[in-house]
Amino acid sequence: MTHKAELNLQAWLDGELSVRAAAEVERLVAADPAARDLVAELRWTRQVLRAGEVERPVPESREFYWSKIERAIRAAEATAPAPRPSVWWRWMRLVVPIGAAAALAMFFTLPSLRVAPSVAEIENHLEDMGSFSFRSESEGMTVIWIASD
Amino acid sequence: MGSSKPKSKTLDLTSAPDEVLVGAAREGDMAAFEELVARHRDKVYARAFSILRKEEDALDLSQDAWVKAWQRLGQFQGDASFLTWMTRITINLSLDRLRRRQRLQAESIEQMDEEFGGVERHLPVVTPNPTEGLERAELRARIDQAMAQLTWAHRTVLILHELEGLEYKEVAKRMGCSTGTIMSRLFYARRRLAALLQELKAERSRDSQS
Amino acid sequence: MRLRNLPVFRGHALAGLVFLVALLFGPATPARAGDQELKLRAQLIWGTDEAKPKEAAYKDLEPDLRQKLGRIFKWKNYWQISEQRCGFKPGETKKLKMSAKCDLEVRHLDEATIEIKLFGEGKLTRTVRQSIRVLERGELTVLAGDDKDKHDDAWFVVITSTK
Repeated sequence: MTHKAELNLQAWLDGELSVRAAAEVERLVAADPAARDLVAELRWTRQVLRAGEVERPVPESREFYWSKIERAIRAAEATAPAPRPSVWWRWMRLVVPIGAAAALAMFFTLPSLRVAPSVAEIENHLEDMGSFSFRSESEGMTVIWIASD
Repeated sequence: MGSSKPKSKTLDLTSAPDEVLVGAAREGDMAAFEELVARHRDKVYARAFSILRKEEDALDLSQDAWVKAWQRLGQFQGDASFLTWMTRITINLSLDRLRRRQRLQAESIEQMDEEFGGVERHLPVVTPNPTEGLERAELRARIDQAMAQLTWAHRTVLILHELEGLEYKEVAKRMGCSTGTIMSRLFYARRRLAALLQELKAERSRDSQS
Repeated sequence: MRLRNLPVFRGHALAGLVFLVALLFGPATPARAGDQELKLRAQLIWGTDEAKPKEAAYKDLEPDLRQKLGRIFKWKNYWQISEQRCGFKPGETKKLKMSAKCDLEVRHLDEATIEIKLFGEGKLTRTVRQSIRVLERGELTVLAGDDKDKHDDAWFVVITSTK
């Protein structure tokens, strides 16, 4: 059997041949036991591959895996150009500083209203080391992950 | 800086179908996107691993794929499932990474392909199927072991054609070569896989006898 | 959904409004007594897939912490390299030596906040300010990272309140 004939056998099996070419291959398979054996091998190889694909779960927790994705999304968005502000937004730009100023005034004059932040505040002192943090509610854990770049 | 699992204000995330989550994510709902990640992360990671064969690389790449998906949600047409779309992004990124890192290996594969009808022609036909009667877990383990021994180009052609169900011309487009090359690679990869599974069967029976 | 996703609802405008509403109508949390001593435990932990070296005097980690870390991170084994327990009066700062390369400087900053400075090989690497209330709720603050010399391993500094 030529190599071209072998590739045609494979293409026939994969449904990639025209009707005419397929009929030729069928004649070959009927007449040649070696062609039949090769078709059988190619066929079971395909079947075991489909049946035996390995399941491989992510070796990290949902929170840890997501935290890295979220961090990358936010970093990319921070560098993207800002959208044109809407009328609503321009109006809110007036309201928000007033609201924030009122809130701050109350925060400093009424200490009993100070609520503990649930997220740690982090300062980075080494530029060659990046870090990100995430909080797992289920485990009650805040993680600050430091990565040397 | 910190982040906990986000919550959507409008959706019951666990029961919403993928298309609804995609729609919400398109509108900027990060919680809906996180739910999509949680649902499909294992499959996306597994596909990246199947091509790259390194845990760290697959983790890193699968996360890049999710970031790309977020940025391109507007391009998702919904003519295939979200997972299929996501898997395509993962495969394309994996191939880009392999091309960059393994340029030399790619060249040697091209050379081998030029020897039209090479070593695979001399492999004896494996019959009967050496994985017949195996438990699913054992079958998966052996296939994984055999796939790990193939070159990246042969492994990838099998993944794209056999597992992702792409036609020859689609595989050729993604791998950046001709349909003829893909046919040769696929033929070699299938025959080599059969031979490797046969070897593994022989090894196991030798081990159990000794 | 559309309204909620207008840019104005995404950033600090929403945060500002929520902050204002929370301050005006939210439950006021009583402040911690100002002179109370804060008792902390710091553990330096090594995460690895390898078995414990025979010669190393590392301690096995208590099962609940081991399980907590195992549910978040991927390593199979977690060994405790060292542990320090310390009390901090308000305003007090103490240095804790966790290993030859790792030191912590912990400061009881005010009635609500603790400041943790992490030093690696003598260099200040990170400053983390954490809420005392969060720690006293039993939550863990974990500073962690890849092992610089052996990328498959990781180190963890776990800070907990011992009340």
